[in-house]
Amino acid sequence: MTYLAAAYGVIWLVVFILVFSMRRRQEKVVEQLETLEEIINEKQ
Amino acid sequence: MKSSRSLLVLNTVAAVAILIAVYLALVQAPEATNVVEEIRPAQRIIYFHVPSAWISMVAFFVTFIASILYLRTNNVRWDIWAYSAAEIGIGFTIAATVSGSIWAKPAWNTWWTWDPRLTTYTIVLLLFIAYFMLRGAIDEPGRRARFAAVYGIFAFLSVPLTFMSIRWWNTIHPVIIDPSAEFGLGPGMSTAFFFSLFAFTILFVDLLANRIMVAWDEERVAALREALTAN
Amino acid sequence: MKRYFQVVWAVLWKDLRIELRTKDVFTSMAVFAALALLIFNFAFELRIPDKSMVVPGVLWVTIAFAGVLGLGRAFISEKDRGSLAGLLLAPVDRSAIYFGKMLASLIFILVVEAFILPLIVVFFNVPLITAPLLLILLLGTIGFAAVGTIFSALAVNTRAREVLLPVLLFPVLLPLLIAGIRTTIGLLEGQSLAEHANWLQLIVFFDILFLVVAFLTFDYVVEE
Repeated sequence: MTYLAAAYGVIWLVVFILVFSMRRRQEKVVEQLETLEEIINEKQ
Repeated sequence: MKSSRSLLVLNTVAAVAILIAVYLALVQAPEATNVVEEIRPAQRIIYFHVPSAWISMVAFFVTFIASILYLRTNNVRWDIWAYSAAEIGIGFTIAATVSGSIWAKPAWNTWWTWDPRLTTYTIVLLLFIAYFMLRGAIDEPGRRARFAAVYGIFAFLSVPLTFMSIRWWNTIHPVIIDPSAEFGLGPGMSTAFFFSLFAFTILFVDLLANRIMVAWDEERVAALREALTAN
Repeated sequence: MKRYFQVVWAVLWKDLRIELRTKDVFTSMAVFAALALLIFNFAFELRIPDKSMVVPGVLWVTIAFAGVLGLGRAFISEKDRGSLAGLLLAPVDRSAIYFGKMLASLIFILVVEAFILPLIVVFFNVPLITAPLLLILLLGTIGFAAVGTIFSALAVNTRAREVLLPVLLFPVLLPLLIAGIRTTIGLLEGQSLAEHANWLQLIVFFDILFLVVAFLTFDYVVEE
């Protein structure tokens, strides 16, 4: 029974890691985009 | 490219599909009658272990095709597809290998077996890792994409050869009984199994789409940065 | 067509000539191989009933590691001296450079193998120098050089340089090693090559497949 939980747990862990890392990247990118927009606005 | 609305739909569909798959695997599927009582729950690992492995190979195949397309067209979108699929692929390869090892314990009382499938997944994992190490060691984006594409092609093509050679090797030194005979699919289990396969495929497509979207944004940011510093 | 072979020959001969003069690569490979054999000898000395049992593995592993050492040389000196640019100007398909380099590497590894084989016969007391075995060794080395040369071109042009080569190479080379070891085991046990026809086919298929893929993709590796 614990094996079942462990195996499923691992798979879920991997999926969550993938999802969370994507989330983090997305947030970073949005942040960078906003900074860039500011710079562009200042230049104009 | 998908808009954020269709991405939302895809996310929901994937989540729902996985939940249904979990229900089918843990509740609906009948107990495995051909194995001992205390390991019957563990048999249910198969509903998630095999699809994980399947998805990892699909991901590798996507990387393979994207690599070829990148070399042919020199269009950066294919490089994005290639490394996005590889990222997701490496995740599912780890999931498949570890869950396979966990499956082995109750099934044959050993944490590891040199069964061709499990061994091949390990090699696939090493190939993915090598792919990312190669990418990590190149700073110039054009070269990185090209080199990675070349390696991706070689790496994918080696997998069937590796699998065959390990399979032939094992028939001479039989290590373990064929796994599917022991923990195999009995009657009534196919619904859970094939639905799980289907759910994982949708999950893969969903993860890939999301990853590609983020990657595109990152590329755009990099391009903008360059344009700005050039002025 | 004639020009193509001329370039291949020119590349090959240049590498051979440099090596004949300096003997750098051969010496390092040979010494490394000899040391490896010595270490293997002691590693297995006390634990197994019959030392000759490990010979197939020892043979192929030693060649693999010594070979990787020698593969790096194919493109390092070019990169450092910038002489690759001159070669690229030749009006032939770039793959000519690949085949020239690959043949050079092949010859170097074969020479080292000629050095290793007698050593193993002496250290482990096994009849290793037979025609079938030499054939398998040759075919395996061709595959090794085929993949190793193009991967060397990749690795050398990264920050990590040659250190990356084993990481890239060994997982891909596995079918070759497995086939080589398995056939060597069989041959040492007195079986005929015909009994291992499927392994032979695997090795040949591997060689042809990756020679073709290398031929198709080498351009992308050296384009600047």
